[in-house]
Amino acid sequence: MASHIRTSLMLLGVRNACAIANTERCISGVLIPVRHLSRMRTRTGNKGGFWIDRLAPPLFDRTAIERKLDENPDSRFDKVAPARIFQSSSAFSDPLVTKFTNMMMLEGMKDKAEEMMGRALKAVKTIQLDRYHAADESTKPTIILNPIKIFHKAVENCKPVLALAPLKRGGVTYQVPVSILEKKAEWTSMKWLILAGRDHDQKTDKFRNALARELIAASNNEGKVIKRKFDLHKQCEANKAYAHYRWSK
Amino acid sequence: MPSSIFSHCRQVGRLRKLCSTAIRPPHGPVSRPFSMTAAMQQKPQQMLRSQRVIASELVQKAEEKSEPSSSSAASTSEEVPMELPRVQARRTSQQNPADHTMDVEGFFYTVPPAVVEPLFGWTRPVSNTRGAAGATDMRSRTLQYLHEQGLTLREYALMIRQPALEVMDYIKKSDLSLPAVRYVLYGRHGSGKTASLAHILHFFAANDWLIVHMPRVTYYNRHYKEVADSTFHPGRIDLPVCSVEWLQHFLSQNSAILKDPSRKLLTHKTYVWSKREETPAGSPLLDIVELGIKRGRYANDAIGVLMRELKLLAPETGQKVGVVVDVVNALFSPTLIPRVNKTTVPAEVLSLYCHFRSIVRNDWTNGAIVTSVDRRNVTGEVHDHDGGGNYLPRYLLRGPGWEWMDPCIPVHVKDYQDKELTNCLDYYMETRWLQHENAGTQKGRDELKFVSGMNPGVLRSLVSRL
Repeated sequence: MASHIRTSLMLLGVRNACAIANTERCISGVLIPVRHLSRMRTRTGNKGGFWIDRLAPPLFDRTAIERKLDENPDSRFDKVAPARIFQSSSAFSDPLVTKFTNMMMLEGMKDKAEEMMGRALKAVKTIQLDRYHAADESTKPTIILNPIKIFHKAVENCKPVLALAPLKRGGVTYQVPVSILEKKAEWTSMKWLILAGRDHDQKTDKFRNALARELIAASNNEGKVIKRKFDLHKQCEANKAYAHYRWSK
Repeated sequence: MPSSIFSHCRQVGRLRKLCSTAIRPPHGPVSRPFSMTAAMQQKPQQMLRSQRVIASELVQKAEEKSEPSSSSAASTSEEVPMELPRVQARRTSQQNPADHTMDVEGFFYTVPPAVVEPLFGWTRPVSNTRGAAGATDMRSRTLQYLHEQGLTLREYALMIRQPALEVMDYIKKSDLSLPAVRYVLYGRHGSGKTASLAHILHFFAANDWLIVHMPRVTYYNRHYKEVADSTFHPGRIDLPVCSVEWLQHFLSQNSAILKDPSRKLLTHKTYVWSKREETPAGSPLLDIVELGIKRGRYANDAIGVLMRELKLLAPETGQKVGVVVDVVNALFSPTLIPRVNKTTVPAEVLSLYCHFRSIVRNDWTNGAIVTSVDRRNVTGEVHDHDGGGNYLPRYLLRGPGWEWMDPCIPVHVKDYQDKELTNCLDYYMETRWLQHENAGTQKGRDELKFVSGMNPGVLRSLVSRL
């Protein structure tokens, strides 16, 4: 029973599933849920770093858990950190897709956002398959059909390398080109893609179709979002003279 | 040659990627150089059938040292996506459903393209947007997912499953001189009732049956388009536009039979439509259909005449008549069509439903009636309080429907078996609809199997994004 629950939780990608799987082995056959976070904080206190750093990282692969236990049988007594919301044991989960889904979610409607993301990926696949069947034999192998790969490529292509920061110097606000962190660039790229998807004819078109078209275009370095990125880069180039304001008072 | 050596490495690398999840021992990544043949000898049973096929192919290719021309082209561009394992779904070449037996259960067969259009009416492109052309077309609503899939995958393939085989077997063995037998397909939502009906529909079409096909009764709850009072039967409600559409559907399914004078499908009495329009006795049935299509005002009455004549003609002329009605329980449930006094039209008053209720009666011979019951979009208070689980015919038909449909043969459409699910995933991979790298691994397949609960509809929606 316990193993069945564990399997089902793991397969469904439920949060803490593997943490449960780890602690479950403490007492054979008895399922012990991971303690509540606030409880954990009280127990560990604030000595010796942040509490979560002193916990074992959660594992998401059954073989990895078994390997760890074989190597160190005492590790079954480890306190395991709770899994993050984007971490999943599913074979089909993708952290970036999850992040994107969360970003496009409105008013907490996660089910709706996931459905829309799924439909957009389906639309990507449909468009690419149409191209695939229309193409001649020599170009067929070059067409990417996997929608997740296209999504990753699109996000990668849309990342800006610079950003403009409004800095006030001498009573005047300048748009100063600044370097951008990898994480921020990724966020910007995804935000632009979402905005491009929302920018469609409300009567005749759908978000999923607009997003799918934009993803495919961006994966080929074309489209509205890529243009937006180039526009930003151009503006940064034009404001090159202000760059030193970043360091001066 | 360096290029051929490179191609060899690349192929083995791809092979390793393919087999890594299936063959890798439980204790982490392999430290020693990967040995394909040794791994296969150790645990061949853990590999998927498809992977075994491709593995053996690749080993052969690697040994033969494939031509450098292809490999050099591939090695220069980084854009070439990694190919998925080339899987072959199990198919049968028998295109007549009458030839299908339990031996080919779980196999796919392709509906011939020449049959697809007249039978299912999938002519228009599917539109994902509301209100656009095609979205409210009755005919494209028949198995819409198959329509979409067919357009995308360039073929219309149906899986041969036990319920359809069972019904077709019963029909082949039954004595048609006795009153028409009614079959009621029931099962969970998404278990394949409509797909089974499509298979049976093709069985009728391929074996010279005249088809009376109602794609989905609940369609008229939303898409009634135009409502008129009946002139023939005061108090009844007509749906002129919908009835014309249905008659066109009927004509396209049966044009060969209706236009064949040797069948002697002639009317029994004179039908007077108005002061100036009448159809004399002895005129072909096609005249009734064409009159209904041309004169929308009489389309509902034309359907009524058609049903009456078919019941009489089936035993007289020997023309077998196959009736297929999807969601037959909606014929006994209230509709959502509004009336002036802010009530909705009950099913007893809608003349289209009346005519279809009359044809699913077993008061005629030389025919078969195959129906399904479903709970989706069917109105009625009973569906709001049952927790959503009951799909049995007695429950969904309720009192009046059950009295009308009794006696009938219930046929349970179950969810996939293991072999059906595997073949379905193989089919999706073969047609490149399933693209995820993990779809070919045991872990991925186990997950799809578990999360879908073996339900075909849920599996389809899961796979659509992968």
